[in-house]
Amino acid sequence: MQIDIKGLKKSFGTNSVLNGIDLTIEDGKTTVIVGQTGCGKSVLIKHIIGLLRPDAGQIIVNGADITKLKRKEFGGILKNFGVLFQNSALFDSMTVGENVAFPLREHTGLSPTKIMDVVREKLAIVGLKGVEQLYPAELSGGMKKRVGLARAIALDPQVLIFDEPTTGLDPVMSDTIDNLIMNTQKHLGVTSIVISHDIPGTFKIARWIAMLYKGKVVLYGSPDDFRNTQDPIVRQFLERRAEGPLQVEA
Amino acid sequence: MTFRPIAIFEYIGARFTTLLEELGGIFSTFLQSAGLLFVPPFRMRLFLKQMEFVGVESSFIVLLTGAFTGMVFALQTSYAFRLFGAENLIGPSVALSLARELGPVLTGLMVTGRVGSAMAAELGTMKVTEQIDALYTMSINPVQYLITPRVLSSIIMLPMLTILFDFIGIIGSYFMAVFLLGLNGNRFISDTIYMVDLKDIYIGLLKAAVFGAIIAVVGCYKGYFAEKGAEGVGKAATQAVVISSVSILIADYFLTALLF
Repeated sequence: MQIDIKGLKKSFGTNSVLNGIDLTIEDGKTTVIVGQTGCGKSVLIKHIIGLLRPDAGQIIVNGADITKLKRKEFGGILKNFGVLFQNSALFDSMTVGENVAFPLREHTGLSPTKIMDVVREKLAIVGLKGVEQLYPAELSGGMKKRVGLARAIALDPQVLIFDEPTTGLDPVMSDTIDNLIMNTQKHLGVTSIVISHDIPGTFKIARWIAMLYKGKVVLYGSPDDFRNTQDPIVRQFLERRAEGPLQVEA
Repeated sequence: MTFRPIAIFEYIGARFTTLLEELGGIFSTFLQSAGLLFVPPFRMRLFLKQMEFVGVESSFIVLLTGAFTGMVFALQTSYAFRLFGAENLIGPSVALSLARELGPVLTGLMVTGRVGSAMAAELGTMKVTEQIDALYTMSINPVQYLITPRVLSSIIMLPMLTILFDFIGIIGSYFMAVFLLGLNGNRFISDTIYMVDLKDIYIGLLKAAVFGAIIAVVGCYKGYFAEKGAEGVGKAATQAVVISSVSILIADYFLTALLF
């Protein structure tokens, strides 16, 4: 599913977070959105899934502007989306199996045994076995992410959104999750949108990278475009220097 | 710093606006959750689970507080009634106060402490850990999934708990009156039945249902809009208890004035 974002603007009170975002998310590819904390990455994602409404601009999915949809109509669009939240957002009152089964129970008429088959299959895709009976509190951060991913792909979505999938994980686990994102993407042929701070991981998994700064896209291109750019803002970010045009907000 | 008299009005105005916003938010949460009761899918399991949590699991503390309230009430009234030899009124006066006031109000306050705070904390935790956003992204209406069952269960279970409270309270006062104060047991029962109308009990139960709605709606509202991590969740739980308790006492006054 291709997603075209045009002139998206959003402010909260006097604080304007998105100042006219223009961005195309290519169908069937992984696009990584990078930028400083507070640059509007999460806000942008919340617009794509309809949790926030823009002040101006459009988000076009399958030829229709989804910012004009009513809440009820959004339900249909959302079934094509799978979201992996930053802290996995697993339902802690349910077991791993119930978490992955949850969207299936709610949206499909499958029998309980068929649902358990799908649950096992999705958990196998993310490399987990025999964990159905555990509760999220019993899992490590990396395992939670995997379960979160298994739940996100339960309904075979066309678009997967990852909100900082490797934040808070050790380097080895981060790379494992990156591999998982790449494999899932290949396996299911989905359109992936990844929000990340992790530079090596970004270069590894991205087909396209977009960097946001002050609510705008400063550079959109392939990983090679990013490696070769002379843009001082992008260079400072990639080289992780404190000195330069990017400033940490006090 | 110079003294600005206008600042007082600004302060009062700001507090008043916040209060109105809060009331509006609570009321619209109630309307939304009630409206979604009639929209499929109907998740029976969630209702039953909440009924167990609100009702069955609260029954012990309701029994305990009910028994002691009835006993102490009989003891206190006996001092006064003995002065003019009207001990036979102990039963009816305890039963009437329990049915009309103490049953619904004390049950409401006990359940607020147990259930209202738990609802605020649970929904608040779900909110700050993005579980509510996760529900939304799975195209499940979080209000319908989380709030509607809690509100309906509380509206149903609070009257049930009040019946329990009234019943055990009257039994407590019976034991007090008959075994400790030496009144005639048959007289106690017949006087009580003679003096207490079914209407007294019904209106008490109606009050309890309103209190149930207040407890669940305030608890869910506070949790659903919790912010800023663990501190926000704690604050939501505390505020839920305070707002519900005060609202119950205020609503009790108006319901009594209107219904009796």
